[in-house]
Amino acid sequence: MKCIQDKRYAILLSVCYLSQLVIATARPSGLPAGVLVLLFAAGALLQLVLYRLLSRKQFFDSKTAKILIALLLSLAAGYDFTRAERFYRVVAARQLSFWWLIGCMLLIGWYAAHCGRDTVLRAAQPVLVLLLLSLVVLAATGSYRLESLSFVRWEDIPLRQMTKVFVEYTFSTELLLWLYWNTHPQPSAVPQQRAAVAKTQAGILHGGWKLAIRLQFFFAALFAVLGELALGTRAAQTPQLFGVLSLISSGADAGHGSTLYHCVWLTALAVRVCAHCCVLAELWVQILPQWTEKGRMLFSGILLIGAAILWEALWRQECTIWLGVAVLLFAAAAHLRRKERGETE
Amino acid sequence: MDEEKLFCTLADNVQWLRLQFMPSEDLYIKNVIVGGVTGVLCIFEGLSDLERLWVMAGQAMSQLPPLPEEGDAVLEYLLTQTLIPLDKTIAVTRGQVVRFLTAGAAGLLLEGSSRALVVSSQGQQFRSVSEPSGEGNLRGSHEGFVELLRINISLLRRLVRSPQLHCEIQIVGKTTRTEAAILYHSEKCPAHMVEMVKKQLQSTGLDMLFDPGYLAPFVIRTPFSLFTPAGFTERPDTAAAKLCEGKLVVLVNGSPYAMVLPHFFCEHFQSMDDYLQRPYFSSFIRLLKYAAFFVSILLPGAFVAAADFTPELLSSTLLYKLASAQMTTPLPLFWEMVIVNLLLEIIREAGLRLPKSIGHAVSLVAALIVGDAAVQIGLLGTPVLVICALAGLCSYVVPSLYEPGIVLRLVFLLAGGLAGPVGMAMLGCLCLLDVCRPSPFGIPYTAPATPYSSALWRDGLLRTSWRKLTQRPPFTVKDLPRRRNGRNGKRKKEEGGDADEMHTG
Repeated sequence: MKCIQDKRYAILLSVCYLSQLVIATARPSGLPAGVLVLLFAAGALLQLVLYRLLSRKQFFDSKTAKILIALLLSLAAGYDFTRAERFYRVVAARQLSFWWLIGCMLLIGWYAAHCGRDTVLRAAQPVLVLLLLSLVVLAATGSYRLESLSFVRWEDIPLRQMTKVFVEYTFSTELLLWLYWNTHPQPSAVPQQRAAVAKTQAGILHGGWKLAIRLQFFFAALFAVLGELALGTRAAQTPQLFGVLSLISSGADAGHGSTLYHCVWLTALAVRVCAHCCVLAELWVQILPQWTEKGRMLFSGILLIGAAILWEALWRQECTIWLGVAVLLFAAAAHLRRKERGETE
Repeated sequence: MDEEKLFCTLADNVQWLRLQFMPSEDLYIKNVIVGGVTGVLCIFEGLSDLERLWVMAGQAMSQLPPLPEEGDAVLEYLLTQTLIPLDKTIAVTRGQVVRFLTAGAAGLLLEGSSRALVVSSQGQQFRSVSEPSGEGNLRGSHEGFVELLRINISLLRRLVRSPQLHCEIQIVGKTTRTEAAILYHSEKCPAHMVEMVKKQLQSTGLDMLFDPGYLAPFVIRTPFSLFTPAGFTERPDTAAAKLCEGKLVVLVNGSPYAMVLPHFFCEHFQSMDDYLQRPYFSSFIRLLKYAAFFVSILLPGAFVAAADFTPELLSSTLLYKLASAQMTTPLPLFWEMVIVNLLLEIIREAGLRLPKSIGHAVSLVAALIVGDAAVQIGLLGTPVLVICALAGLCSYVVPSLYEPGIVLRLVFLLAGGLAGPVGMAMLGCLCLLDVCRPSPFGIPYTAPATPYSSALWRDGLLRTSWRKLTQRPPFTVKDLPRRRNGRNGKRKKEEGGDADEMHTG
């Protein structure tokens, strides 16, 4: 089995992870920074183990698995639409219609699917540079007070909240994206060539995911601490912590540069949507080969809009945890199937 | 008609010629007797130089030694035994005769011969080699391409004196039958790229061809893309440099522009002067050009988005001035900006197409009416005019990106006005995807920025000194499409798709 050391996938994964970090769920974590850092560390470790466990074999050949993954990715992309709208609602003075944002995101997703995976892999590179730059500048320009840090009292920490944060952090759909890319590393324009390349290059996207996981952990932990340094105990109750930090980081000239951060973060989230849409487009080709491209795109679009509306309706129900659980179950099933196949082979 | 042979009798050949070209008054057919055989000499007036033909070949034709009075024998003698200092060849088919005559050659048809002697006696009027109008340089060569293909090829051959410089000519255009030349360095240019371009040119199906720009959509099949990996230059030295980098140059008869394939985004910001000036200055100018390009496309949209959606981005002084200017104008800021941008384009287009004398008048009227009167009577606000003027000025810094720049400016303006910063961010993402699209040549248009390569700092965004540039082997496009494969970093040519990692020299 050959290994592919491909930085491009690592970069795209990093953008995906970081974008969902900066544009978080609307509900505040409710946990102090110390607990968050520990949870993130545990999550990152589990992610490293999961990625290693699932990296060795191809299992992506059953239609059921593909349909399941397509549905999960559609739900995740739909959630991103809603999340972008919620984020903008918190950080901007003038609001935009929910449908405007959905329309924009859908258009970008469609264009990315139309252009192909290579395009998204390339587009992710400058976005990651901008994203890292924005995070570094944000971390460097805030006003922090050491005395704002609070001591953790474990007896006050609700287990339910910890579980939610842990699951949301650890089991995101990036795992599914990576699983797909791992088994379909290089799409080629020519079907025969695609098959040949897939056959010879299927294996580990070596090393890249480690970088993405470490980056996500580093910034998640850093900003959990910085949030508490800046806001004190209120950080735990603040929805869209990054957005709020960006608004207050300019000090007296409040908000002067925050729009730039928001633009970069929304672009990063759009790249995440693009990654999902690209994989979705490739999956629908395999699931529905007899359909025309337009038909598949239309079906996929309807599914995404439906998912976005569903998330909008269920926003207060904290259903995102179930997406994480579904990803976890899928990963477990994949691992079991891999073992089973390994034994029979 | 192309492959049909000539007739054996002179009368039939002459009748065929007259049928083909009559009533063309510029076809000149003169009856001659060469070596005792009757014949006709055919040329197109203006394309062929009769005086030159007479001086060079007339004497040799009139003083032939005794020969058998057969057309073929005389033609053979003229072709092989005379010292006529002109290029001679034999045309066998009618299509060849038509092609040679319309290219300015003279044709000699003799009785009893089904062949024609073609003598290149071209004497066409053409513009002399002069400084290119659109790509001025402070230093370096001041030569520009002209309209004649052969002269353009010779200009390139003079600069790249290498036997590996290959030139292949194809006829494109069903009606115009224009010559298109493909030039490439056989060792540096990937063979698959040459084959692809040749195949695409053969299958264009164009009826007419007057410029390489006609061919670009056939070679680069990205109809909805704003950016195309085809560049155009008027400068032989630029085209020669591209040839040395392993790129293809397509020249078309009748056009002073060369099409360079493939072309990268960063090359729009490079000029020949960059390589003649000190590296720090070249780098500074390049950064300035990048900044000007982004200002030209983003400024009006960002201004409207900031003023309408996030006014806290603007300083209070600017906001006050803006508000006071808006109080006096009837239109909202967004519509004002759209109208002024469109007006600017109308003025530019009017000034460009009109005769120069009237063009100046247009500029004057535009400046007086739009720039002064409109502000005085309160139709337009001064901040809007200043922003538009600044964006317009910046767009002239990178002329090759003018077309996508204008469209992007208007689209960003719409996005910023309708959806604010989010709209601009989303459109920026869309543009990023567009510019990162796979190129038909398998070489990314965005190289060496993404996929990233250190060449970005050597000769992309910045330019290092020649001493540093020469420390590595000269860069060619063959260095680009590579993919690192395996743990030990073995590099293997990619089998499909585009370049993954850049390893430029």
